Amino acid sequence: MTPRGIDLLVQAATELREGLAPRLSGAARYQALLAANAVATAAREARAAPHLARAEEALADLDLAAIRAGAHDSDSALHARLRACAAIRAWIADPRSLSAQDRAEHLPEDLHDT
Amino acid sequence: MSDLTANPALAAWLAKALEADEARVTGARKLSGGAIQENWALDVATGGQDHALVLRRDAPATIGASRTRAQEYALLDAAHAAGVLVPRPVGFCGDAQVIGAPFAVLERVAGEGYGPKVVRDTALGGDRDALARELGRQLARIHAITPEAEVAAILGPRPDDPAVAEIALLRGWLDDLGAPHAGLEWALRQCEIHAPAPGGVVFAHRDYRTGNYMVDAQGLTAVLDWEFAGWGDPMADIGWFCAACWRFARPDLEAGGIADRAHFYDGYEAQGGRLIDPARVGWWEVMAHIRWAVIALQQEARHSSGAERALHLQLTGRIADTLDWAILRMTAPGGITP
Repeated sequence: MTPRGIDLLVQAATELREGLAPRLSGAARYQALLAANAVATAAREARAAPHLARAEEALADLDLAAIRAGAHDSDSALHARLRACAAIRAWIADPRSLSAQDRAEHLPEDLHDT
Repeated sequence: MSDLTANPALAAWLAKALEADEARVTGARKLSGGAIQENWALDVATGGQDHALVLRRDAPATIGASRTRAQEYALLDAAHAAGVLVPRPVGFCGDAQVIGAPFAVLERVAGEGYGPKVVRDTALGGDRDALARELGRQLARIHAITPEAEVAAILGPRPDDPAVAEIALLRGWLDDLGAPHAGLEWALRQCEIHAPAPGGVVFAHRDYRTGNYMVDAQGLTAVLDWEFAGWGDPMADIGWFCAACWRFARPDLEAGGIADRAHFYDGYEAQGGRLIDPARVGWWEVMAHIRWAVIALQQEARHSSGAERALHLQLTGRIADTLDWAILRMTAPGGITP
């Protein structure tokens, strides 16, 4: 998605959350906040897409049955790759699910904001 | 379902359940919440008496972990008989003709149950340390339940090793989802390596957490959500209650976001619960995150399968991503820590 497209989503999320939701109550307000959250998530996913693609590429040849069977029990490198991918996904879902220190240590530089 | 006030069969069933000559449903409104089932607040008049009730029936699509409404009712009834603070059971109707599906009716309990609000709004629940102690006492009462034949049949065979059984259950659920979840596979394997040795097995609630009990301004009013109850490690309920993923906005208050652990533990042990085993509780706290992650993915699958298209289900699936991150931090090679 182009930066203009991402900016469109960011602004839509802001207006849903700050413009529309406060004027509503009950189930309608909840629905507006859910929609704001969804649009903001989609914007973050678009921003993180190149990083996520690389992190997933690094896990592409993974054999899940082998993990289950115990072939990777001490595989610190695999654990680090899984964690790198999970950090990006967690940031997309909710940037505040990572502490500021975690964001600095485990995320690419352009994904340190919330 | 909107015609609950004009349903003669329901009125007749309620009259019998309430031991009255006749009953009239004077009000019915759908309550919020309930991903798994629909809850309706019913106002019922019998003679000169008014009854505030709740009617529960299945939501359009239900997740795999859920028991039938009849089984859930029997479990709640057993808890009520054992003196656990639950809504008084009024009756269960297995006849789908009455309102279109089997349903349970319970007394309506006043109070707030929504987890984030219970944690945030300290005007609720009375003294929070006392609330945590009371929740510990209630859990000890649950763990002391000796199931009668009908309930024992619902629970099925008692597992020798609940830890191994839980890992197998969650792997089965992951397999049913169909899509690969490498982080959860990794975490389940690490938990398997470090699983605690089998210990005591008790009647367990298996969804005992903030969000599944109700409080008013004074304190606890009811323990809810009995559909997952079954045999379990007593420390699994303790771990589920204390797990970081169920503390909402207060991660510092390790007993369900409401108090320090010590108060919850004190209430549990004082009421005759097992001795708290911190290492075993910690293992179950890690497993709690994995279980919640898999359930979140199941909810997302309800949307993506087309069974029930809904934004809130899609966003619940995203919670699994934040849990995955937390879980991988807890399961580095060499040992697991919640």
